[in-house]
Amino acid sequence: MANILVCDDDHEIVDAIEIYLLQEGFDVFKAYDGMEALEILKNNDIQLLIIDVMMPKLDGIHAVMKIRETSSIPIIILSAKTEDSDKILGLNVGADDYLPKPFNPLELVARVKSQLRRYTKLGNMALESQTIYSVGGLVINDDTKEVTVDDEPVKLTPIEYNILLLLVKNQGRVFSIDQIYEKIWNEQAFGADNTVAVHIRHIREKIEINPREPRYLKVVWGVGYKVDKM
Amino acid sequence: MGNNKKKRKSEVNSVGFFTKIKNSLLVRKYALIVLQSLFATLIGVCFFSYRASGVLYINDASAEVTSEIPSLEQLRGDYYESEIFKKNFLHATENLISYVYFRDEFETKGEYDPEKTIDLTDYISESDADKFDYSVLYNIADMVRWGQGGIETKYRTFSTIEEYYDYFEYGSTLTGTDIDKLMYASPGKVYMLNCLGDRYVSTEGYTLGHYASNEETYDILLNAFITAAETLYHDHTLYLSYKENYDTEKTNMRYAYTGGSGSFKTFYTNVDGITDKSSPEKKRDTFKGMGKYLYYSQKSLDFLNNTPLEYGEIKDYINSRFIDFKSDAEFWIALDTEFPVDDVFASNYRAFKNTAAYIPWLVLVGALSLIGFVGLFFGIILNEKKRYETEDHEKSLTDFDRLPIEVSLLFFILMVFILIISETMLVWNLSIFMSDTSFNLPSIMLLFVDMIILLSFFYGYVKRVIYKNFWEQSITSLIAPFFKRYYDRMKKRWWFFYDDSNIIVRTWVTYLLFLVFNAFWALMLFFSNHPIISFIVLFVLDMAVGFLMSERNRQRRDIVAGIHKINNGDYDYQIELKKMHGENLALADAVNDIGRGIKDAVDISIKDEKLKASLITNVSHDIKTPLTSIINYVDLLKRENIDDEKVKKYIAVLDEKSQRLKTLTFDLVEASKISSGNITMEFARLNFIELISQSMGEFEEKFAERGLTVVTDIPKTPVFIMADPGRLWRVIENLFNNIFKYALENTRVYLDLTLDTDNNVTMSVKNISKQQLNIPAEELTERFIRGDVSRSTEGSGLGLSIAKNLTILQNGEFNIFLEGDLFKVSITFPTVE
Repeated sequence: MANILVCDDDHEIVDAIEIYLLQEGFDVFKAYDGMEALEILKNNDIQLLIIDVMMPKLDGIHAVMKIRETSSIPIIILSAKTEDSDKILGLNVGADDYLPKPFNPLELVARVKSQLRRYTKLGNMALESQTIYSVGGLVINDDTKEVTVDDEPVKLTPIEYNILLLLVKNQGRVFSIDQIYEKIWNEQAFGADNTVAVHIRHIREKIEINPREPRYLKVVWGVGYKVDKM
Repeated sequence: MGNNKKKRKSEVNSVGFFTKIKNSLLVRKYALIVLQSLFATLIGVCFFSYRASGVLYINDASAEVTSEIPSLEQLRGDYYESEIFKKNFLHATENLISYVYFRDEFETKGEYDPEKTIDLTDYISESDADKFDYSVLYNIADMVRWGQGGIETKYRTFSTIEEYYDYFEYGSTLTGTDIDKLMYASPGKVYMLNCLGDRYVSTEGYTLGHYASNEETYDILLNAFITAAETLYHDHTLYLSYKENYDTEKTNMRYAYTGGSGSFKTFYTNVDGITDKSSPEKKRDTFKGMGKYLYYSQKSLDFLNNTPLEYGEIKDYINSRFIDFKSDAEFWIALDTEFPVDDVFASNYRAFKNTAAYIPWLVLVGALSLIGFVGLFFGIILNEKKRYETEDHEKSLTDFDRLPIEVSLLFFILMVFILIISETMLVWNLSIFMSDTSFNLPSIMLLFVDMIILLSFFYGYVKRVIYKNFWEQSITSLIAPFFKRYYDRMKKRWWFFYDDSNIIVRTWVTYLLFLVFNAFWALMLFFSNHPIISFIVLFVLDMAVGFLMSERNRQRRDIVAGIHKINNGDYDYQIELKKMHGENLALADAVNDIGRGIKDAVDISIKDEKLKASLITNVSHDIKTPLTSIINYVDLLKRENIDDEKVKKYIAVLDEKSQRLKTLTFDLVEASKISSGNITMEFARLNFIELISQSMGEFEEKFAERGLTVVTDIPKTPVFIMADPGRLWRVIENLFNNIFKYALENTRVYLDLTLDTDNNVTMSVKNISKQQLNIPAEELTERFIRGDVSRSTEGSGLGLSIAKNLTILQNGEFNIFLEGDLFKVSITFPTVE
């Protein structure tokens, strides 16, 4: 299994994360500041880095910048700083994911897995055919009507499947509730119906790690729904 | 380099002469002033010379002399060819022709004859003349006298036909029918007729009625009489004037007129040695020998002339007069160019000869002098200014410059006074052009000296203006403080009533004074001899008061506008004080102070809020890290296979409370950021209905969990508003969460969306509260306020506060209504297309 480096100046947090990751079968390296993390990265074969922002000696942001000069491993930032601007800064310097503290440990594990799969599978994603649609880790096989997220199969109802397919096929385009309704049910929409919205929510709960902050199926408030190109 | 050295050397050399140069500067300045005075004098000489050519008179034999400034055109070349001469000669010729006519009219044998008579029928028009086959003779002297006094007529009353009949001596022509018409057509009435006064009697001693046969002929005679009297009076006046002016002693004009023949022959002249017996040759030689002459003969139509006059120019005049003359009339007119008499021709000739010939030169010299004068004027002033900027002020101010301004002004006025007196004496009494022959040198010298003095004073004042020491070098500035103190004391003594009384009394006192003043001048307008003065005073006063009132109201308006602006949140606004006066100034200043105060308070409060927000944010960071460990380890504990139900329950409590702590920290940070305005809104156009549907989709299960049924009343068509999509979702989410948490289970929730006439859209949600709400609705949106007992339940208590503040930041309205257990929230936004 993969080697994961966890870096946080709070020992208890590092220990807790270690427990969860060990349970999932990962090997865990531990660091308590940025300098230490850089040292470990240099000397070991690390596949993924979980790093805090506010740390002594070298903070997370600068550490990520340093790492990105030589390495392209997935990096997940963990931080108590939850402003949008903090997230944007973290992602801009090269992190792949940004998780605010306090976090749900299971969500962290899910994100770690997702990042690792994408990192290791990135090479052999070329099995594209007319009937297979994918966005990031989300893959829809229209022949078998199967949906997988990071290789994990997801069970969707036919209507949910059709909605997701519509959105994935038209990546980047925003569909309003009425448009989705008309496309899927083939009926005239009469507005003010939350059927579609409920279905969307169900889809999100099935395919997203954190449905409140969806990666794939995004809500454009007051306009509709979309799946962004990745 | 070499050049520089040389320069420095010469500078060193000149140091010794520094004082001299300094002095010579003063000398040079006065030299310039003298030069400028010379220019000014030249301008004066040229100007007066030019004016003096206005001494050229246009002759008027009625003894009035008009002078005019001739144009350059008229002042060129030979006098006898000039327009001035031509005009005067023509004038004299016309006058002489008239004079001859008047002599015929008033004279017998060359002498004025008051016994001469005129026949009134000569003054009757052609068509009426045949009605009179007799003469109506009046004495000329009488006629002139009557004409001078004005002819008096009055209504004569006839009460009987006999009386009427008697009045007209030639009444025989009146028929019986006429008389009937006159007297009996309107019986009992008195007949009236406009008649000449009885004192106007003819040479025969009769009144005019004597010569009339009836009313018609009487009217004709009456009109003729009035015309004759007025004409004769007018002619007589001119006759007297000409007689005096064309006397041999008074004029250089000579004439000889011959008219008629035999016993009617008349001969008039003002030349000695010429009589009616003189031969035509002698006359010709005499007149031609005089210089400028003109001859005309009615008999042979000969016209001899050596003046610029054309026959055509006097033909009409001759003709109009010669109708009255005998057909064999002839006259000689000449100007004696020896000028034995000092008349208008003589003075014109001299003035022309002395000045007019030099006019082009005068204009040139005058213009050059003017340029020199103006150039020096600016040159000296600029030089003075330069000295002010470059030199030591103490050194460049002379004793003359330090003289108190009052003393200097006194000197100045004295000088001007002396100038006026002396110039009047010299220039205007003696004239610069003494009797048209030569310049008056003393007066020119005086002008020159005066100019030097005046200019010296003038540049003294210019210097004071430049050095800005007008005030400080004055006596007034020394005594002003004393007057000021006196004035202040008097003011205190007399104005305390006005100042201490209230604004209403003051307004009335001012207004009543204005009224009294106005009334006084209004009365003057009607009763004084000079209403125009009253009118001007009234006009100026009332306009000034009107202007003051409008100005005051304008200031008021600006102040009110300023208050409105500050009131509407523009705390940076300051009323411009420059245009404010008196009480308005104080008022505006006070308003500005209040504005500044509010601004300071608002700034401080915003600063405090921001400080609070950043404090909360920092604290929350510090809370989050240990909280992360708590949550993680609680989760780990949960995963241990614990059989003890008690421990499990404890862990569950820990789990719930740690999660709540997490929400609380998030909401706390967000609420403080929103209320301190520390967030930026990103507005976008969105469909409010779509957003509500999406939100309801998100909450479907949650509501179902509590058994809440949502009853909607939402239009089918899209309703667009401008809002920050994510933040509007946050508002709706908070409202729905509120319902989820506090609505009574298994009840209905009503959600309405309504559009009003002002294009506003309102979303309202109503639900039945689980607990009794015993606090006012407004307080629900205060931070940390919840329906009382609910504090122990989930939620931070910030939901409604966040929702309200976010709504307001998105230009919306947020309202809460409580009625018993009915809880209603409405949010309103303006719609967009």
